[in-house]
Amino acid sequence: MSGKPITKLRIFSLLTLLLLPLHALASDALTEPADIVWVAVSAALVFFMQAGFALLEGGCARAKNSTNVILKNFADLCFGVLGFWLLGYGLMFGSNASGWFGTDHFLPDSSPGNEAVFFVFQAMFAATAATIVAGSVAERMRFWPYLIASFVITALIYPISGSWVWGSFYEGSGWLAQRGFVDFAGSTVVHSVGAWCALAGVILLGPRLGRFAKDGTPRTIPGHNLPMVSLGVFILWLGWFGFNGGSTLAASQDVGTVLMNTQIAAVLGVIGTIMCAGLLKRPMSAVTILNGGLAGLVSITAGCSSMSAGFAALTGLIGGFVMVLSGVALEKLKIDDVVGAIPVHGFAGAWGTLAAGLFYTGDLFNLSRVAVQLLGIGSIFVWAFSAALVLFGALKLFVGIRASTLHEQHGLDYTEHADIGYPEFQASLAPRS
Amino acid sequence: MAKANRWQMALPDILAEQLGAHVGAQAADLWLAKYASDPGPNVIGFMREVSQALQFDARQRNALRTAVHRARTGTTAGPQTTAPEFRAGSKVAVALLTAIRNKLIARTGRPPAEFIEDLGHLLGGRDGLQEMAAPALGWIIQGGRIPELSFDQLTDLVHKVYIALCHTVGPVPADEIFYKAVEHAKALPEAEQFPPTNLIFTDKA
Repeated sequence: MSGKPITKLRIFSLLTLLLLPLHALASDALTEPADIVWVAVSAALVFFMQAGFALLEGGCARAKNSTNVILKNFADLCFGVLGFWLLGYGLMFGSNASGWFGTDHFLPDSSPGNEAVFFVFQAMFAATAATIVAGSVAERMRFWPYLIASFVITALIYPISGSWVWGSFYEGSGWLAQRGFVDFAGSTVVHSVGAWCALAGVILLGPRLGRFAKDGTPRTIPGHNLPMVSLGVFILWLGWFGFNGGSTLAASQDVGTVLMNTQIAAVLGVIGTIMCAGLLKRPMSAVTILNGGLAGLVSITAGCSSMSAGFAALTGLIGGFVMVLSGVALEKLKIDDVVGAIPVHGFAGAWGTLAAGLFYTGDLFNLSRVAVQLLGIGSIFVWAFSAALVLFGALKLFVGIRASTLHEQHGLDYTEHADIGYPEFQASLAPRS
Repeated sequence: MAKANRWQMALPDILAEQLGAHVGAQAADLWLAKYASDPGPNVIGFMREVSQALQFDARQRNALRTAVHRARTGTTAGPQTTAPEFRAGSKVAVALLTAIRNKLIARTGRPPAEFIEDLGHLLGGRDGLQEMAAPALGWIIQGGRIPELSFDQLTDLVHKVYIALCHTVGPVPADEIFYKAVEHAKALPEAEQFPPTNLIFTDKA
């Protein structure tokens, strides 16, 4: 009996130690005022990407689901940042002696400021990974289970694989980083992880009502607002300058290299998409072409600081092809990804990570580097996809993730939020009895 | 307004009496979250939603209807099945279904075989119309006089027709067909009392 209070005291002390900021171990990064300002501005740009995602995904949904999709984007930012603050940041950037996850810096304080600005910047990355899921599962996933999933993704799934690559801010290093894995701003760490979580989600959810005919022929369900989609992609493109540029964590000349490669790859991503769609004789729909820009951006995210402009162009160009071809393959498998997030963030992200190894400046086509890149792509896929399968499977079993067919018919704006996106143009769903 | 507020606030307690504390509380949560604050709430929409969300059987649906009736009238008796809003709703549902059927038979004189097969599967399922499934399907195929279906059965039939259309022709043409049917049903005088959008919803409606 007398041992119990002592045990409790020990546990309390251990928790207190874990939660205490460990300034002595803090990285030397972000000590210059200009660096701090640059990363703070970049964090704001990456935050603005949430608006881009909201417009892109909201526009790709039918009017009756648009508010639901936008609210999911908004709420996953909130739940995602909370999860990252409580657990994710410590798991990802805390002292990483084992190489598998961090063990301190949970619930970090807002002082010192240089670490705080790093937290804000990284929290936006975590929210980006979570929000990728919203577009894939749109129009049929219930709101609350989605929020739980967002929390778990940013608190556990994203930071654990992130620590394998970036887990050296304070002490120690991730096991993939130790092997020389290159993913500068997160083609795999951020984008593919979000996409693999989305893939698990859409497999367990199933396609929208009527999305595929009985013989498997895909049916197009057009989004309700293409101008919204276009503006969303423009905003995402703008935000990417902060996403990739800010990852230098320094206001140095490297920023120029990163930004130029980012721009070149995005442009070539669009051109690659147009070429691929033309070769396949597929319609060059607005969403496909706009997604081509995103595919180029995702592709270059891993290698934007370590390849020449020519290879950045090639990376973006092939990224466009990868996006179109993987989108076709997913449709053949009857996987319903409303915005095409899995081809854009998952497959183009995997290609970009491979390209970062292939086209590494000064070490071109080094097979051992390429092998490490493949190891990283594969291991992070296995982790993120299987963890997300468990997550969505548990939610499906215990909470239910799929909206009923009646709710799908009425639209989730009304059934989940008692709201209508466009009341002047849509019939009231709450007519007087 | 004051009277409306009273019954709206009284409903959660009556739901608990009629449906039991646990299920009644869940129904009351939905009522309070989405419907109670509306000065003229969509009672039928609430009953449909709660019935589907909690997978009510026929007995529970009846208890739910009784609860709503008791709250609205302040009586302890159950509702008449011929209550005006249900009669109007039934007429609107029949008009809607007739318009959809007419659209489906316009080309070949009978609905597409794949649609019939799918609808038959849906109607014969666990949450289908049970003994009324065959007459309802027969009417869809052959036309004539629509079988005597309760309001609940008619609303179920409308929804299952929507699902079958989504499976057969896709969600976009299904919405289009329903939109046109709503326009047709709006011409009924009963549509004033029970708008057809209570039964369905499309972006254009």
